[in-house]
Amino acid sequence: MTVFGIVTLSRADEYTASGFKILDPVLAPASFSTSTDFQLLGSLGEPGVGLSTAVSFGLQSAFLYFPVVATPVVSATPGDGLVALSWSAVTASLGWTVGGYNVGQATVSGGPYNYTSLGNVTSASQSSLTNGTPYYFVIRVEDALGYPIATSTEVSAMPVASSGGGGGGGGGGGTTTATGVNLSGHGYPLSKVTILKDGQIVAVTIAGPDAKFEISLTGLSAGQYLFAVYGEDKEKRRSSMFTFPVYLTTGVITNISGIFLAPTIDVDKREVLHGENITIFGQTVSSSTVTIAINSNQEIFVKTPADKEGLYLYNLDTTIIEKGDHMTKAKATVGNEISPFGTAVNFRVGNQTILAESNRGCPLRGDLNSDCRVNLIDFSIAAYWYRRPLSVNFIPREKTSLSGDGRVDLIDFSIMAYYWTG
Amino acid sequence: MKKTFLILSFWFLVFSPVQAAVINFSVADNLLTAGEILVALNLDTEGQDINVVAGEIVIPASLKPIRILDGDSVLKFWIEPPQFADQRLTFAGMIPGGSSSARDSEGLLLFKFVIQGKLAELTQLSMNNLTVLLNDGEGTKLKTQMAWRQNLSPKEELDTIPPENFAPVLGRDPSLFNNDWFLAFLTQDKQSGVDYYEVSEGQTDGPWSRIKSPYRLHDQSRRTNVYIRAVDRSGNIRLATVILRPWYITLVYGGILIIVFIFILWFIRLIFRKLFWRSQSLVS
Repeated sequence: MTVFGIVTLSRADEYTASGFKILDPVLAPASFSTSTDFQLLGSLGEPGVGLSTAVSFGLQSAFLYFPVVATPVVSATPGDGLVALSWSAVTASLGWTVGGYNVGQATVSGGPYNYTSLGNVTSASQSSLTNGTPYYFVIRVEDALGYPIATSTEVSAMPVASSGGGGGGGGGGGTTTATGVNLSGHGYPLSKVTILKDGQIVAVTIAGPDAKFEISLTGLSAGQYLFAVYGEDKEKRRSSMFTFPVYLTTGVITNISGIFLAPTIDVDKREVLHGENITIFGQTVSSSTVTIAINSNQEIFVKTPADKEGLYLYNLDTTIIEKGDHMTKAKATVGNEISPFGTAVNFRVGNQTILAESNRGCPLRGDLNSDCRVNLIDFSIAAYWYRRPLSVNFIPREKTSLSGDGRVDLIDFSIMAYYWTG
Repeated sequence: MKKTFLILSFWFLVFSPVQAAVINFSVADNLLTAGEILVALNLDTEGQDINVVAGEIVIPASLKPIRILDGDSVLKFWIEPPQFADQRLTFAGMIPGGSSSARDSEGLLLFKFVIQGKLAELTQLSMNNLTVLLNDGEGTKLKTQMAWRQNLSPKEELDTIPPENFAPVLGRDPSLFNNDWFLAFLTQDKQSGVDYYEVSEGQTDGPWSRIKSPYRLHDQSRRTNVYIRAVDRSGNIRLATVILRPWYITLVYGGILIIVFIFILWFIRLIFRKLFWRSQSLVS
């Protein structure tokens, strides 16, 4: 739906107005749909992607204005005459499907990049490189038709001869005997960023005023690791956790860059009277654009800007959604970088208004010892009760913090893993 | 050494192509010992974020289970560590925060295991109760699908590195051990994987008893230091020391220190007063 004025609302639906009616809209932009005997040309508005503006109005059109894709997080590990790259698998929806990845390679930061198609894989080894020369890489995501839909931030590495004792990570390169990892990306301005190694907290840092963070972990042994990162906004709301498996090589620093933590999100009402506004708010990167998804019978998307502190707020008029249970989630865009959607929060549109209570940053579930964390202690408690008859003391805990089915099974561990804080 | 690689995949369950995970075995023979076959179990999540995997591999009688290698596993928290019992290999593990692999990729490594027998008999391996749960906060079960993989070549390396440093956590909870104090612990071994943990209360040299986390302390007064060692599947050991001291001991020690400090101040003041008095006497 196209709405003139300041509204930026889109629904994948049939819709009408006093002067027109569109039935069965097709998600196909101009020149994407062709065959030997026809070509679908785009028109302003519905199938086209983009923003049309004039002095008195802005038009943000159609479904493809809101497709979901996040920029991949990329790791670069230098070797002898090569750089091993791996990146996070990207999921896309609402008109986009990930068809594959391209790696762009350059010897100058910022490019131009020489692109190579890789297919639908999440790792590549760039070989025949000159030792001692820094290389710069980006990963470009393509849709099913081969059109670029997202490009990662640049990651660099400098190959070093194996006799030199290891490669250097990042642009600095150089030989080193340390084994470790550099993690960098966007959190929230001046907020806490927590790093987990294999599920346990190893470091906490504070993002800068521009929301950027960078942290180095060294002294690790070679092997397969699962690093995870989450942020905490100024109201102690936690972001969803970003996890990244990576293999560390002896004597090499691996760079993982382009981490973009999803926005935090909350609502001011647990239940809202149908027709009244509900406020959706949270924090993300400064001056970014936040896309809020409201999951109803029809999924609704709206866009709102974040201020200099990364704070965003959107008043949703509930007349446009039906009564019942809903959930909302958000992602952010700054420059060419796009975060994944974050954790969803639930609300209800009904016959009364009930204000939401702050959970003070405590996980909704999985916290068995009520310390506002889900970590090794909670795992150990659950592991003890796994496949055992529950005690009278533990039954109410299982009901409120786990699946509530009166036993501890794999589903309860899955709930715990989802709400994990380390 | 000439190696023969045989890639096998098994369809365990066939469901709708929507939201399916693909489980793959890859096999390499002619390893360290003749007749031993290394098998790697991978899971292609088809781009979906998952956080729990569990199952049971049934091994035919013609194949002899030898050892398990889980150091590289993406399953960092074992609910049931992979183990052989009665020609079966059971496992259940969790990925804190979840993880995914790209669609049609080689997938996430769950673990490897070594068996002895003829390569051709591997096709008799089967899987029961395979469970893959989505990282969606609800534990939604993911369906599984089969596919062939042609590019896996697992290898086995000698493990001489002990498990990583770890710090057991002291805890107490009304729902556990009648609110007695316990220790929770976990570490990783990036090569062969952690095999088991042992504890000794009070003595660094044992005797050692095998334990699992959580471990209820025998000495609930928490006056005794506890030593926990992690042993990997190659026998390498990492020792963690838990220094325990009850709060009132700390309080007593603190009180004694304060008293000693006050006494020293009083003594210094006394000396100064005596010196001052002597100098005053000499002047007069």
